[in-house]
Amino acid sequence: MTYWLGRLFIVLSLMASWDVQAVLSLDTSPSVLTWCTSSGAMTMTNRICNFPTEIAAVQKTITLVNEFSLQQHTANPTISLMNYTLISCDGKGNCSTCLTFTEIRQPTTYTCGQIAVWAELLPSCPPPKSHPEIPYLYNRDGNICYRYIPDNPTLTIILSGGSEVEPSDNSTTNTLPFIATVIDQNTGQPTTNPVQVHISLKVDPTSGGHDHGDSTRPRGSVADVQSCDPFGDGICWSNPTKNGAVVFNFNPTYASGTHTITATCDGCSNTATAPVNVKVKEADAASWDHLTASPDYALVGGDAGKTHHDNHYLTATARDHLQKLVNKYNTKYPQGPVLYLNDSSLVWGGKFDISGKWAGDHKNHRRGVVIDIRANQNPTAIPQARFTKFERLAAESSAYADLHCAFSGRYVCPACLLDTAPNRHYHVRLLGKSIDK
Amino acid sequence: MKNISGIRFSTFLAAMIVSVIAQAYPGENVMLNSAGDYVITYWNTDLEPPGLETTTFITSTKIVPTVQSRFSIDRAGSIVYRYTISNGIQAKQVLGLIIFDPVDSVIGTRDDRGIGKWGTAADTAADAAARRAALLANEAALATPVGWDGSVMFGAGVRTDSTLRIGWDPTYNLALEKDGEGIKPGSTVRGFGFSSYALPDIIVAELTGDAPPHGWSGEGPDESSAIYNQIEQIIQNDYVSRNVAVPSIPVPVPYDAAVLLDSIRARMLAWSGKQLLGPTFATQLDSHLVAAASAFRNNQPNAGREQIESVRKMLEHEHYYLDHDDEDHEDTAEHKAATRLTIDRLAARVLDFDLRYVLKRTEHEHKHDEGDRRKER
Repeated sequence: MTYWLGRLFIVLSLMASWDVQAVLSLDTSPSVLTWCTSSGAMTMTNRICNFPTEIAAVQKTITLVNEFSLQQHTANPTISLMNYTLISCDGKGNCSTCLTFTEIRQPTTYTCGQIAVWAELLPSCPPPKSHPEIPYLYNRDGNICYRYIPDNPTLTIILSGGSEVEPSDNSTTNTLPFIATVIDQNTGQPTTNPVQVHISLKVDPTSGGHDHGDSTRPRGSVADVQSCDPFGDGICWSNPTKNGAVVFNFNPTYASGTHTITATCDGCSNTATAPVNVKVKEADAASWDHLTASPDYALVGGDAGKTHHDNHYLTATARDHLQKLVNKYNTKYPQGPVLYLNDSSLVWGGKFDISGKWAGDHKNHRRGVVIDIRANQNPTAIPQARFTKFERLAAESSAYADLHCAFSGRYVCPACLLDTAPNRHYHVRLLGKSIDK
Repeated sequence: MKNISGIRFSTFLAAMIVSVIAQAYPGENVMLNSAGDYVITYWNTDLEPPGLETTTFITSTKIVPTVQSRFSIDRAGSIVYRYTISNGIQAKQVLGLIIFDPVDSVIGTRDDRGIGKWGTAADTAADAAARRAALLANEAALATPVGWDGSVMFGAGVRTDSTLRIGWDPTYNLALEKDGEGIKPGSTVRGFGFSSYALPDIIVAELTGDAPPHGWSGEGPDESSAIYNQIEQIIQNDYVSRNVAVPSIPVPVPYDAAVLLDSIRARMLAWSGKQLLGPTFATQLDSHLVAAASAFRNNQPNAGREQIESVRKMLEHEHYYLDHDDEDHEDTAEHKAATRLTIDRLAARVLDFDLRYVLKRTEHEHKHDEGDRRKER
């Protein structure tokens, strides 16, 4: 009676801790035969169950007995120290043990034998999959386990998908698939009834080398849905679950950076997030690196305070080809000036928006295989007289160089040689004529 | 009929796709003018508002080059390659750039890939010195006429093997700050070359005329524009191609006549696709080369030599003076017309040379082995 009152007390206490007015519903589970053991008499109250094997059950009890004996002996050395060692069991709970018996001022003695019923195979209740704080109770009459749990489902949401995707570009819209699954904590399974899931997209404004970024940075979109609102981190897309889950594709922006996908649901007790790095695959290589200061060349751009202050990333092969070109140029023109190297790619590649508007130039400069070299009227630029030689050296270095001029309006620009604006530069495809990306 | 209908349909479909794309960029076009240059009108989408721009791409193909390839074995056993390059009198441009790519190997060159970590903080002064030494050694490994600069590059494009990209262009006149003279129309320059242990095969050399530097207002047409691919094709093909014989077939070490013949045979069979060798003649040559390789493999060198000589006789029947390594004995126009369906003269010379090498080397190896055996006795 006391036992049952105690159990009821636990249930009612738990109910009192809930904010909602919980309606209790009966949850049953078949009992399972498991090995049970006890350090004392095998009663309902002091037995321990759910051991998978007889040996495991008996070993537990032996451990408890030995620990208790040691505690007693340590507190009072006149109390004998007993230490059991398990030898074997017969599958019916009867086990053979050896006992080491140590008494003060007496030699240690040993005895081995079989002591009946160290363990028993008994019906017991499994650990609950939901609401673990409410254990099952065993009803001997029905040989069944039961408990009362709150009727309001507790939902949690899980978000699964990839963590890296390449940025989209003019010709390719990349996607990264995700699954948002809503779990009913009562059952531990996906909900069967539809639950409304809400997805929002966030982006770290200055990630990916875009130092100009702010809260209006494009966040990407959910495929087949209008792009998410760039002016807020609010919900971008909602859809009910089907069989407990909702599937969607994340479409990254043209610009590389760190994005976060957030999923919530109506009734969910949590919010699930998934970080996504939008970056070109070349940036994953250990050899992807940015140019550092060198006597062989000068670096342009990259100053703190610019829209992109780290703008010289290249693949290893592109860097090797650039080295050939630079060194040949320096050998031919030892008196200088050295080549002034401007934009190549950003830290994770992707769209390099010079103006910081997430669109417009550069068209390429996405994958660390092209670089711009100063060729304007500045005295540090490649002198115009050397343009042809420079292009030949580029060709011999397996590269291709052509001039880009200023955006000064609609005029015939046969060779950019009449261009006086500071923008004129050589756009160099470092891996050859056919590779401009 | 089925194939023709298929071609017509796909052409129609392509035209439809192009026209749909062209709607997004109205007014764009590429036109070839009377001077042989391309006048390109494209949307500059970086302007605000975007607008049409026009630029003239002056091609570098207004040259009429001739490349004469010579190759001979020197006393050290290496193969000396020399080239004489002419620009026809009808040319409208000076020839200013010569590229041979790929070349198997050149004696005296140094692979400069992976020396230090150029451009990063980990690079050292010693690395820079090593790279400079390699660059100078590579330039010195080439035979370069006065007034020209040579260039050697390992790992061109995205290649990871050790084949080379070799180039020559006129020396820049620093004092006058102007380009050196290339090969003017009607002129010839001799003395380009190098030495190698590899046997010749035929590649396509890229020869480029001196066109003024081309420029785009903005960054050129958009990638999604219909004319973008057209322009890329123009850029990729902006040179004149000529067949040249360059080191291409490595000689196996230790020497193995059968393996070398297999390599020669494989290269020869590829000539059909380059219009250097007629398929029927290829089959006839191939049967002898297969037999030769098999004979050497079965330790029957005499039989192998006979098969090789049979091939040489077949080549001699098509072209005279093949073993003189002398371009002066060029075919007459009539002879060229008659042999165009069998084998190109340069191809015949290359094959004859390669086979002569096999014969000489095999004989040398045989004498060497005999000498060793006598010593042992």
